[in-house]
Amino acid sequence: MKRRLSLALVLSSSLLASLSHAQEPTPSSDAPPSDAPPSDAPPSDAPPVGDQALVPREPAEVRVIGAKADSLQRVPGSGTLVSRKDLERAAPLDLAEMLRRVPGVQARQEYGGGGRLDISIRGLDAGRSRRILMLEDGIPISINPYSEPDMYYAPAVERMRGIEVVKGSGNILFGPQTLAGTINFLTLAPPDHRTIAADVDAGSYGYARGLARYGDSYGGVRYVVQVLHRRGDGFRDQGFQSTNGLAKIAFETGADGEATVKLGFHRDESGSEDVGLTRAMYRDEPRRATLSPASHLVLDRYDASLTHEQRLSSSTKLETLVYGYTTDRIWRRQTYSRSPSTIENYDRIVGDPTVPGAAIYFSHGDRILDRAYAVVGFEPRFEHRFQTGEVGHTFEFGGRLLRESAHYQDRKGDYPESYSGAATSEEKHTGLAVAGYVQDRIALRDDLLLTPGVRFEHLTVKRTILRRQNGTTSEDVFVEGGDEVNGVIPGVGAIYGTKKAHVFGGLHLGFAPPRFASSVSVAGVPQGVKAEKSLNYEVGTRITPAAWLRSELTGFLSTYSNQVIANTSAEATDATALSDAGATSIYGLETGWTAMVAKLVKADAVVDVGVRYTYSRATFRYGKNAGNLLPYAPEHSFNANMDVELRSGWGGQLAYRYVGAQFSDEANTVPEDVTGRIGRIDGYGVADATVHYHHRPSGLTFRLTGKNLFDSDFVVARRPEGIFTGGYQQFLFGVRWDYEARAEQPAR
Amino acid sequence: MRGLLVLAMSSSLFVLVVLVVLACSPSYAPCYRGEYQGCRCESGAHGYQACNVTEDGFQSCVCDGTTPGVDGGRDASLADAAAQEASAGGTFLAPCGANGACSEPGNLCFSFPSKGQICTKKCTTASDCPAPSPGCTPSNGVCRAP
Repeated sequence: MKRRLSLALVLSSSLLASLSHAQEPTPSSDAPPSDAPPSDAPPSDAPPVGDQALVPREPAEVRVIGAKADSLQRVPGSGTLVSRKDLERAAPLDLAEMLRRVPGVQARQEYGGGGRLDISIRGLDAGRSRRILMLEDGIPISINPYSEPDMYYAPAVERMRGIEVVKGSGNILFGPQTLAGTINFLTLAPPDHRTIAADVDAGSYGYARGLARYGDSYGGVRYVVQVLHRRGDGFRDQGFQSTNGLAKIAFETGADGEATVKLGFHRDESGSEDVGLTRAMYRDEPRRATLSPASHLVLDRYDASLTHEQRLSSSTKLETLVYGYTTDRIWRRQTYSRSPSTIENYDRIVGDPTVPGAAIYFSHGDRILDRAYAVVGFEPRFEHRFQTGEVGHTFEFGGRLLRESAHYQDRKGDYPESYSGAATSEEKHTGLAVAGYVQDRIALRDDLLLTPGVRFEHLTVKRTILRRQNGTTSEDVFVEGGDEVNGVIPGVGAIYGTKKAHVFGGLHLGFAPPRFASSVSVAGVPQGVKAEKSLNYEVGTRITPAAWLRSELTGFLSTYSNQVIANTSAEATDATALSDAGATSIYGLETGWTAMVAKLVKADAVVDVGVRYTYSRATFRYGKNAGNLLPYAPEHSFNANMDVELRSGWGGQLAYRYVGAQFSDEANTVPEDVTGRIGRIDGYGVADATVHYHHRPSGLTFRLTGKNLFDSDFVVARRPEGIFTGGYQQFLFGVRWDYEARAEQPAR
Repeated sequence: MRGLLVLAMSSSLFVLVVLVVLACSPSYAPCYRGEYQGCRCESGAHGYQACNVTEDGFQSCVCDGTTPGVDGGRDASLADAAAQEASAGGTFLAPCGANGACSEPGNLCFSFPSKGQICTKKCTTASDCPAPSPGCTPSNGVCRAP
């Protein structure tokens, strides 16, 4: 099978190479249009009061939307770009803040430091963003992209210069998950002149952050280095600290080639429990400190990548990605029970022991989950433009060869702070994935683009169990098993209209490979678990009725033959943490509007008002829960922001978000149970604000940020085990210093 | 020179703000009423000590061999609350009287799920709740018990 795939890729390469000298297509020019959308056009979007900041040259990298000003218009389906300016104005604490600006996206980042990222697109389960394809500069970033695509690592927002989100059939260029959407974070671009930045923040709950960045060029080699450290006490007395480093070097590899080398590391240390408040605890004191202060997590991640872009001709481009990253995560959790035993000596008993289920009994021991993940990948990506008669083509094809591995060890510690312990289970997983895709963007007319494409995924997995529990003891074993998964993922999208007003529509197959643990049983036997699949339709429009107003409206429908969701059963174990929900359907609409008020009134400033609303109804289709909403899938969500930049140097932002009511279980139970795990989660709204002043002569910017301004208490989740609350009111004060040398003027 | 002055002023302002906000970090109760922690008895056996009614520490170690919440186990905090109830007489944030009554006008006897019946006041904002109440519980519309 692998040999056939390789052959197909080589043949495709040869065929395309022979076409590389074909004519240039006339439509769909890459030249930025004069009326490009502002969010995608830094020059017109730049504040009139800034320092005429020089936008760094784009390095060699893989984009899911593109770098051109009309790229959004050419994406086969809905897409959103969060620009560098959006990021600068918002001064976000974490990525979730910016992702909420995308219609149809729900995002939540855990811990004050933003250690974990839960993203949902169009009603899919948000747990650890595992249903979304997460990329950074086109490179997967989840811990094991195929078999455990969980975001236990959330990239630092400070290393980003943009975010691309694609939700329609454009997903098939970037697998393996094509269920709902692809999010691609764009990291800092190395500058071609000296730039220095230093940024410090401090605020309530012991929050402090320091950032240092240096970039320059030398002999045609551009580079940027950044180090970021963040610490805090956490909202619930769960201290955290994280350090993130990034180094990026861009250099030319000839007249028509450029390469970018990226190195990064990330370390998180944080209090991290899996048990939340009970119903009574939350009613009495919603701001109670963590119930499990000894529970703690340490994560180390290292990554390296090389992205090479070679222009083979004026119409043919080859991008090649080579990457590797490792993630080591060790998490200790104090053991607890809700059903006490007379023979156990408990460390602590919290809650109300007089009511069954209302108390949590913490033992004098812990469970240590020790995980090590590694990923290496190679991806060539061709793009070739040619013309057949009056019809222009942008033909893209490529492939991926990826190997991933995981090593799991569970240990039982003798005291709550132990990171040692005796092994209770151990196993190793490996996966080898081969993927290929082909897509043709066909310009039938100047105002009509049709983009059919297909993706193929093949995954071979192997599970080796080395130690497992046997009753109350553990034993060494050697059990091996394997399985194979294939997926053919077709899709087609169409766009009709002009840059100012166009409609788009698309259809594609959603695909996500099954997880390791569900593919092969503990006895090493393949379980025949199929990949998650869905049929996704969307139709929408993007309209710019005036130079100061742009809007987007998209309707969507997805039908799943079997959707995997988080298991909310009280009896759920690690092995059954995810369960099959059976056939489900999701439909709804999302809309976003941006009004550039200052343009309307011809004021010499930036006053942008953006609003976004999403209606998404995700329901079970059959069985006893038919018609019920899926857990953690709110029907309504809304957010709005107002960004202001004045010539005087003052500026700021107001942001508000509302998340509608949602259920925590398949039965859509409204009353809260005594444990806090089951029951409706009421809707909540949160307002944030930032005020800043930029002193141009010194390059200093002063910033005051308020999060959750009205200090509201709200429940964000009842999982894994109980009630977890949202962040409280927090004020941060920051000072930033930017130095940017003037770029050398070209000789006249 | 002017740049240096701006830098010095901004640094001073930053340090000042940092000191202020760090001083405002919250403090948490060491325990909540009705809860227990394990303790070592003089005999070496394992016992349990209950959280004080005032929630500022734990009572002495009780070594009767029972586990709170398990059949036959005790609930020392409730017994302790009952004892205080008799002496407090149903004043603000004290346990309600034997018949569920509060002695001060405007107070009402409210059943806090893990703290028992306590005399409190109706409220809409935190300013309605005098010390030592930590604030208003919006969901119930009553002042929180400390």
